[in-house]
Amino acid sequence: MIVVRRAFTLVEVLIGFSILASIAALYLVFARSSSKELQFSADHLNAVVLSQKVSEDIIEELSLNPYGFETLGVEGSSSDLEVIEGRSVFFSSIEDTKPPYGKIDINSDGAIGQHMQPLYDSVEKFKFKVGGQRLANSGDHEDRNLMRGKIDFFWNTQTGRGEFNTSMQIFSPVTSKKVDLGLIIDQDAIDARIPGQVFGRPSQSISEISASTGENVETLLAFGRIALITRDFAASEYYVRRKNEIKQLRLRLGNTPSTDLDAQFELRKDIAETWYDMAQICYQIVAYLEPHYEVLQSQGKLTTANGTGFNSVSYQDMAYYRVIYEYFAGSLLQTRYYYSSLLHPALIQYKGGKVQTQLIQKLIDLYRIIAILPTRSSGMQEYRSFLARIRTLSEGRYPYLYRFATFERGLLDNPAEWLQRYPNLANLHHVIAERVPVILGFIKSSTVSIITQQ
Amino acid sequence: MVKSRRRAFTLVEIAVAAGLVALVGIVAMRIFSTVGTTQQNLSQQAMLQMESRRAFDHLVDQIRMGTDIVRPTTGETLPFMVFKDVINQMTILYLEPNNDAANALEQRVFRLVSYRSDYSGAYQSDNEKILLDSVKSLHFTSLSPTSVQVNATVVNEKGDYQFLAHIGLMNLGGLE
Repeated sequence: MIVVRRAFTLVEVLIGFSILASIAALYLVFARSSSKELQFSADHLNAVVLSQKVSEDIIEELSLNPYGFETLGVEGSSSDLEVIEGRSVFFSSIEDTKPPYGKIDINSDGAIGQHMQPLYDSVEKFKFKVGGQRLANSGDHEDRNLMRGKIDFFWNTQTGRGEFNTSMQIFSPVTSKKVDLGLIIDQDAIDARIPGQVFGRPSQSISEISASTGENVETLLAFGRIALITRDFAASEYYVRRKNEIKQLRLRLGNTPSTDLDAQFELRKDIAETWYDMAQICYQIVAYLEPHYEVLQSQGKLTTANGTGFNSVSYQDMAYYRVIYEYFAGSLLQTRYYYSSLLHPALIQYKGGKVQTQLIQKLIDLYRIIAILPTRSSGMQEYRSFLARIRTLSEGRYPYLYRFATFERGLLDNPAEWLQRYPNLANLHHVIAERVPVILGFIKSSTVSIITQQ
Repeated sequence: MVKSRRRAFTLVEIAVAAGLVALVGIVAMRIFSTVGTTQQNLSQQAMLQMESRRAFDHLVDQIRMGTDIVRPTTGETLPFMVFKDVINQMTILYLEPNNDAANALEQRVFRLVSYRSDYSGAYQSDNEKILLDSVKSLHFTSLSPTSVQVNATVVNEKGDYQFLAHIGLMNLGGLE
C-alpha cells in the first residue's frame, strides 16, 4: 500500500505557530509576574536586614540609657523616617569614608548617599516608623522595666505596598530596686540584746523598761538598735580587716611590673571591688539606721539620763554613725579612683572595648552617687567633667554613648528631673543628701546637750 | 471515473507562504529568545538573592559566636574584622581574591574567608571556612564594642546585590 504523506498546509503551520506564540506570550506574562515577585522578595530581604539594623540600634541605645527612645528622637514621634541621605539617626553613621579616619563625621560621611550603589537605589524606597512603650506607663510595677518596641518598614511596589513589621521586648530598668535592708541584719537577735547590753537590764523586756522609764517602746528600740549595730560594726573590725586586705593587694600591685597587664588589671579591679564592698556595707548600715534616727527625732530625744538616756557610751554610739557615713563616702571615692585607673589606655587596649564600656557604666553610677554626697561639694562638677570626657571620646565613634552623655549632661541642669528619672539615685539622695545632714546635725546637738548636762 | 488534476503552487503562492513562514518564524524566535533570556535573568537574580541571604546568615552565625570586637575599633571602617570568642579564641574575617570568578565576571571578585586561630598558634586547615565565593566589596564598621555593621556587595553574572546589616555579638564576658 502506498502511503501518500501530505505536507502541512500554510494554515496548519500558522495555527501551530500561533499556539506556540500564545504559549510564549503566556510565559512572558508569567515571567513578568515572577520578576515582580522576585523584586518584592529582594525588597523584603532588604526590609528584614534594615529592620534588624534598627533593632540592634535600639538594643544598643537602651543598654546604655533607659531613656534611649528619647535620645534616638523617636519617642512620641509618628512621622515617617527615611533610610537614605542620613535623614534618620539610625542610618547616619554607616561607614567612615572620609578623613580623618577613625571618626565618622555625620555631616560629611556616614550616610547612604548616591555614591553607595547599588544600595542607595535598593533602599531609597523604604520608609519606616519606630515606636516604643513601657508595659506600664507609671508606678513602680516591674512591667515598667519592660519596653515593647515596634519597627514598621514599608515601601511602594509595582502591585501596591510592601510592609515588614517587627516587634521586640527589651529590659530597660527605670524603677527602684526592691531592697529590704531589714534582711541584712538579724533584727530579732539585736532586739533581744538591747535590754541587757544597752540599758543594763538583762532581766527586763523592752516593754518593762518602757513602763519603768516612761520612754515609749519605739524610741527604746530605735536607740538600742543604733547602739548595738554601730558597736557591733566597730567591734567586728570589718573595716580594719578589709583595709588590711587592700593594703596587701596594693603591696602586690606595687611589686607587679607595669608590663604585666593582666595582673595589673586584676589587682586594681580587686582593690576597687573591695572598696566598693566596704562602701556598700557602710551604706547599708547608714540607710538602715536612718529611720531609727527619724524615730528618735519625732519622739523627742531621750529625757532620762540614767539608764535610758544619753551618756558617754551612747555618745560614742552616736558618733560612730558619723564615722560609718565617712567610711561609706571615703570608700566610694577610693572605688572610683581604682575603677578609673582601669581605664588607663594600656589596660583598656589589653582588655578591649566591652570592658571599657562596662567600666564607664560603673563609673557613671559612682560619679552620680558622689555628685549627691553632701560632703563632696565638687562631686557634681567632677561628674560634668567626666561626661564631657565621654562625649569627646565617643563623638563620631560610639554614637550610643555620645547620645547618652549629651542627654545626661542636659539632665544635670535640672537636678530634680535628673533624680526623678533615676529612682535608685533618688532613694540614695533621700538618705545621703537629705537625711544624713539632718542626722549628723541631730547627733551633734544631742551629744552637745548631754555633754553640757554632764 | 474522472481523474482529478492536482494543480501546482504558483510562484506567488510559494513566495507569500515562504514570506509568512519566515515572518512568523522570526517573531516566534524572538519570543522564544526573550523567554529564554528572561528566564535566565530571573534565575540569576534569584541566585543572587539566595547568595546574599546565605552570606547574611553565614555572617550572622559567625559574628554572633564572638564576644568582643578587636578590630575595627569603634568609629573605624575596615575590610576585615577580628573578634574574640568566649574561650578567647580569635577569629578573623577577611577577603581573598577569587581569580576564577574574577576572570568569569571580568571584575575584581573576592572570597570571604573566616579563620579561627586556636591555642597552638599553628595553621589548621579545619579552622578555615569560605563563607562566600563572590564578594565585590565588604566593609565592617564598629559603632560599639558589642556590635558591627556590615556593608557587603555580592556579585554574579547579572549584577550586584548590596546589603547593610547590623550584627550584635554574644552578650557574655567583660568585667564580671
